[in-house]
Amino acid sequence: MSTNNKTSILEKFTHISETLVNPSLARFREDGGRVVGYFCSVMPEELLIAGGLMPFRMRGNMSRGTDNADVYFTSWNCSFPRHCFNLALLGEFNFLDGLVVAGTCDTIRFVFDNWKKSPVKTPFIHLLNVPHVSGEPMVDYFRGELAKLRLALETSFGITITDDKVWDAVRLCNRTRELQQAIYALRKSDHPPISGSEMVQVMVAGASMPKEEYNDDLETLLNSLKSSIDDSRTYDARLLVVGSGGDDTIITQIAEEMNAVVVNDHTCFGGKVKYGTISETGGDPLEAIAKYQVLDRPFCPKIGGAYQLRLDVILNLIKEYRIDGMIGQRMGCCDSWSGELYSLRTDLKSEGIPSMILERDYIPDSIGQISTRIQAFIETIRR
Amino acid sequence: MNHQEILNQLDAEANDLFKELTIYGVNDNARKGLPFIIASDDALPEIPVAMNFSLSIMTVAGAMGTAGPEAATNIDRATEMGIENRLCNSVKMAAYYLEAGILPVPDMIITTNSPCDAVDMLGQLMDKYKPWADVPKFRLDSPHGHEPSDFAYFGEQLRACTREISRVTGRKFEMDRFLDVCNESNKQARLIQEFQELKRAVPCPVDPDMARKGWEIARWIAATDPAVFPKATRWLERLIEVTEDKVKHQLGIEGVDEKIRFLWYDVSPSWSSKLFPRLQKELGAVCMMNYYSFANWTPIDTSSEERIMSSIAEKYLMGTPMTRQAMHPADIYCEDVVRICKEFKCDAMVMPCHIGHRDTNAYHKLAKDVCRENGIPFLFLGCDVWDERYMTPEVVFDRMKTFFEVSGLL
Repeated sequence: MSTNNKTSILEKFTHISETLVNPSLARFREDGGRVVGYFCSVMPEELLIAGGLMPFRMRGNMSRGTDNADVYFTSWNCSFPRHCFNLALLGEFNFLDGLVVAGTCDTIRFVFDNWKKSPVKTPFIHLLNVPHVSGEPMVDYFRGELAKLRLALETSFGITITDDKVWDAVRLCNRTRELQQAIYALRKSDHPPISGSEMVQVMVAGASMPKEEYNDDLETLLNSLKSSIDDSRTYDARLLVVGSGGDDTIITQIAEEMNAVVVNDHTCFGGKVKYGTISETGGDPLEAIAKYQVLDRPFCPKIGGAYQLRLDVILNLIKEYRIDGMIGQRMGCCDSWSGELYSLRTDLKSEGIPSMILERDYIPDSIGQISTRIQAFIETIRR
Repeated sequence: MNHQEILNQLDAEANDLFKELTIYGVNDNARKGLPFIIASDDALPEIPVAMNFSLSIMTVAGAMGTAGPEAATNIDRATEMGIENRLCNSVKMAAYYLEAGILPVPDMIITTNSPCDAVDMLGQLMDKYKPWADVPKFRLDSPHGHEPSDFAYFGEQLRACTREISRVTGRKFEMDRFLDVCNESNKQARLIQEFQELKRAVPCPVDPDMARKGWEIARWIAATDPAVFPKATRWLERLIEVTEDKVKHQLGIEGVDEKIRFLWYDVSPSWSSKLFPRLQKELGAVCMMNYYSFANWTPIDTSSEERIMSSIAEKYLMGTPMTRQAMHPADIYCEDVVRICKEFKCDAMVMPCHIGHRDTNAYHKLAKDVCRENGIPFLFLGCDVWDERYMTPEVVFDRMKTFFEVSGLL
């Protein structure tokens, strides 16, 4: 029974993570629900949920090209927003009732400007300014920006987002994080009941469907995983994937086909998202969210003053999950991850932890080279 | 001295001062006996001048390293570090200087996320650089917004930064002295604006890039060497005097038969000496403005202590080249283009789209559209302003010549 549950839920999540308009999202819309897309994870889903809106994390992992977007962006821009914007120009994001762009990096920020002036007609579009330093004064600033977003959502959608509704949403999303953390924790085992590739699909699905339904599915999945450990399988290496993206299984799948297992990740769609929980005490939910994003979870490499925290988190993962090596991945032309991975590699080396850095396109032209490099890396760290 | 001799002298003085901005200058600055601070990017000179410390700027030192006979070797060495090879080469060079261990240990480090991802990344490398582990650090969060609340937010950080500088260096921040410096800074801003007005004359009286040189002396050199600050005012006054005289006599740039005026709205390349003089001489094409000669100087409101810091924050966020264009909505860039073309009678707009500038690469279509709407011929280049090997000055020249021809300007 539990194996069946695991299989059916993972199949559902796989389908959701590989499409845009999935059945759960379609049902939400048929029932009159409105969907708001967002870039990137610093944009709190809680505010949208509190307004009765469904958050949808922007991605383009099914994209096949950037021909249309190339009119707006050049190849000196990261390919992730280019693929997403291309899909928008093709009408693939017409199901969105709104879009919030968090001003994280330079290229993502200018998706906002281009989207506004492109033929894509999204009724609501908002640029959320985010701080790029982790510190107390930045919490107040971000709290103010969240208040502006709340007001803009209320005005545009004709809704009221009360503090009570935000607190409810905080509790709902905290539950999501706890369930995701529980599933991640199962991977500490010598015989992880879920592969790295499957985990990617679990995480991507979470940002693509109504949260209540997702939480129910996660609970079922967690229970079935607890009783489905296969102790006959052994692996050559236990890996950690760190870097941008993380909404596809390219790296994990290649590694796992070579008898390694990805037991954790610190990626933009993956482990970084479910870190910790938002404090549920205090009077002001926006302040609680701002503190969480700015002080507790400053995981975007664009955020200064927090590298040591990010390094400590990664070193802790390596220890807890008995990781043999780190694969760092970054998109070409990403200046921020370039510096972050350069530093991480240096620091891991001094700790005696092997690592490799892969520069890739969001949708790579060729898998062969990536595959060869991963294979060579696994061979050097094989247990 | 005749006009050209005066201009040559001003130019020579500027070029001599610019040596202070190179990696060698940074090392010299550390030995001047003043408290020595290194910043990741552009900095307001008013604070170092008022508090009398020397502030060197990493990205400027990096950019200076991309010029001269060793440029290609330097860039290749920096690329070998293994960070993003399409990173802006001025930042890559600065990162190389850091990691190669050839920089002096400063008394303090100030980093910020402005103007772009690359400089933000450089600042983080500086924060993590182990030989500087014990150096006090202050990190500024430059907001992307441009509302009064954003200026107040950044102004508060500047205030906190001056407190930290005082603590580290022992130099007091005295408001009276700071007001005097701000008033002098406003005077320099007025002189720059006056020069911009004179530049509008047809034919353009002097090489418009002199505005950039004046701006860099008043801003970067003065931050490095506070004693230069008042000299910058005098340098600008002498520039105005000679320019006024040339306008009065309707004289253009020496040896140039002006036919075309164009806007180059990006950084002036490190290889500009191989391009712009040739465009002037062979085509009569004069570059009326670039990011740094635009130098949109916002005056500092010295009416109260309360206002002064948010006003200086506004000056930094909206008046600093690159920060103005890369940190804020594309509308600001597009509006600048239309306004400059109109006010300075530019016949065409050239968008260099430096390969390391993620911002301009992301809004070149918006700039092109606004130019088309306003009847301004538009050329997209896609060059590397710090590495002439990517698109050589000869190729850029040919492209621009063809562009001017097909636009009916030649």
